[in-house]
Amino acid sequence: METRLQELEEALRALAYGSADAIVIDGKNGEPAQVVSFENANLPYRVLLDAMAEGAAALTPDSEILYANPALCYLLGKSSPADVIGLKLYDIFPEQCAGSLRTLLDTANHHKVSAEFDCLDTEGELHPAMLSLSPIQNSGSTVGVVALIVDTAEHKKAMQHIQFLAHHDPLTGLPNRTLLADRCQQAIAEAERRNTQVAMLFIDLDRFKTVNDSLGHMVGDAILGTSARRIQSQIRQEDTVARIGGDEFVVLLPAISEGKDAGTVASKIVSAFLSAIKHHDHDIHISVSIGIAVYPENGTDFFELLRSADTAMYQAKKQGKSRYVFASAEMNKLLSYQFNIEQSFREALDLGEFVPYYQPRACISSGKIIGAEALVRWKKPNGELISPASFIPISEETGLIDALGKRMLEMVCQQIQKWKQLKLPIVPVSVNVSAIQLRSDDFIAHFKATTKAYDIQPHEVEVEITESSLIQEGNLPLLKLQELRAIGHKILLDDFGTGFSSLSYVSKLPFDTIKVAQEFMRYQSNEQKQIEVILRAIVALAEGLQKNVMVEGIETADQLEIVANLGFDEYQGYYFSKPLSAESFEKLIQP
Amino acid sequence: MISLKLYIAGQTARSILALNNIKKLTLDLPANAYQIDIVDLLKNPELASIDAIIAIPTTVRTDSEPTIKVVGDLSNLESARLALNIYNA
Repeated sequence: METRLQELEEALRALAYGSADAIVIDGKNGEPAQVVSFENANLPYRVLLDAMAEGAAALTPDSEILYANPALCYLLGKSSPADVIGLKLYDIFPEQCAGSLRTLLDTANHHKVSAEFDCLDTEGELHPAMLSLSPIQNSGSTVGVVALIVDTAEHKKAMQHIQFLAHHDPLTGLPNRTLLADRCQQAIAEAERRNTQVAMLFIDLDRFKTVNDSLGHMVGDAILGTSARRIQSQIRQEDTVARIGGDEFVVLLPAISEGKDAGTVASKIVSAFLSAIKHHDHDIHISVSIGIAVYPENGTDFFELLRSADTAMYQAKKQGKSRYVFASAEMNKLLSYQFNIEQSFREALDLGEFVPYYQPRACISSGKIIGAEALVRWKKPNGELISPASFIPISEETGLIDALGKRMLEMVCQQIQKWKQLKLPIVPVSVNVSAIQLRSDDFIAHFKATTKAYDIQPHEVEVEITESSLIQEGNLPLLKLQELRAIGHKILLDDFGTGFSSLSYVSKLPFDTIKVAQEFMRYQSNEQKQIEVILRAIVALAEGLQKNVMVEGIETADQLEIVANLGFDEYQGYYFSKPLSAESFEKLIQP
Repeated sequence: MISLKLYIAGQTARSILALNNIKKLTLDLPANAYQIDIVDLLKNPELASIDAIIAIPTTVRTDSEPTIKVVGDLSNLESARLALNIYNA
């Protein structure tokens, strides 16, 4: 009995000290004993420890491992906790760490510490790890240490990758805008000290959007990759090529002695794109337009240089693409003018400074007004009228034309409603619709809602579109026009004869009237015969397609006589009337 | 021959530690000088009564008279060696 008591005492001591973790309860009436493990009491914590991605261990104060979670075993390349338990912390770190580990452990007996170490796996490979130690205290004395070990290799790799992504374009691996800006500022600082120059080449792939849209993004991406390599092959080691946008690349030439050196490089890059890019079965011809800006002449910081080079690139495009153009001070002036126009355009749209003017259309045989074209005018508060020629291109570039077009339709509908209320003999009014408006998702919905809101009958509002605005747009705009036409709105094909005039395409367009461009009326006297031949052919075409045909830009009685003899039905032009304000037009149609 | 019986209950941390320590205790002995039996009471609870086991882990030296029992994970190797009387001959 005495032995049994001693044994119990020893068991209790072992349990209290923690060196035993289960008790055995004798089975009653000859049944087998039951084992109660204290581990199960800690099950929720155990599940947590097992699920942790970080290595966790419980240590004795002198660093022997009493418990290790699966993540720690994995980190050390061990298959089970049994291979780790009983080891000392020193065993899992390289020998040379022993000194610092000891210091760390001494501190950990009092408070939490952490440090970075390389730990060893079974193959002897080193893993960078963050080791954090905290004391386990029981009534004032340290009874153990908890160790958390985080493998920082993945984290470090991810950080490096993030660093790379932050400064590079993932598709081409080239520096991105951020890194370019940084290198540019360095180059400028260097050039300032050495009194040299820096050149920036803004490169845009010509027609890339068309290729991308027609052959798909996969081909587009392949072309971008090839383009990047072609550009890289033409520059020196110390130069930077960056991709800063969809099909926009920038080459930075630091420390050039003369601005014209940049021209040589640009010329080489243009030549590098003269041969077709082969992609599977396709021979893709892509050229580049390059704008060149030079520090300090065209800008003194990254943004100024980029803006100047961008403007010059647009000039290169305008001049026919596949070429380079140097930036100039005039160009920047033009740019800031355009910028100002754009700014005030937005404001004017909000303030309602755009108003429709109405240019009547007349029947040639009767001389009566049979319709009108609504033309936008920008009327400044001081009475100044701004020519559409100076703001329509900008409104198209910025997409503001969509808002402008909607506004115009609303005002025209409102005006027609007012004339109807005044019991005036109204005529159909045509509104111009741009390709950008047709592309807009809510075009039809807005058109229907507006005409309904002002109680407009379909024949009272007509739509003018230009053939060239449709030709690149695919089928969707045609479907929208068909829908309007099905409701009863007439469609006028504007500026006929100035676009591509693809006859096969014209036959597919849903329209009612051909409007021959006014350019045909601006001929020299020796061209008259040829022009008449063309106009006669257009009249015949219209008859064949069973469409109305009218002509714009009639300014003299002679011109009117000519087009009357050629068989035109209607005309528009200064000879009959210039575009009029709503008030003036109202007087004209009053009975 | 030294006969050791280690009573464990599954793979509890103390049981694993005890097994590791028992290996350390016998490390210097010739292979034919000892034998270790491991009794898992989770698998064979009825075996607990043979040596009247109270707590887990417990190591029993069965070749001595009376048998020697040490409760715990044998972390203190020197006192375990002393208690179980294991010395290299």
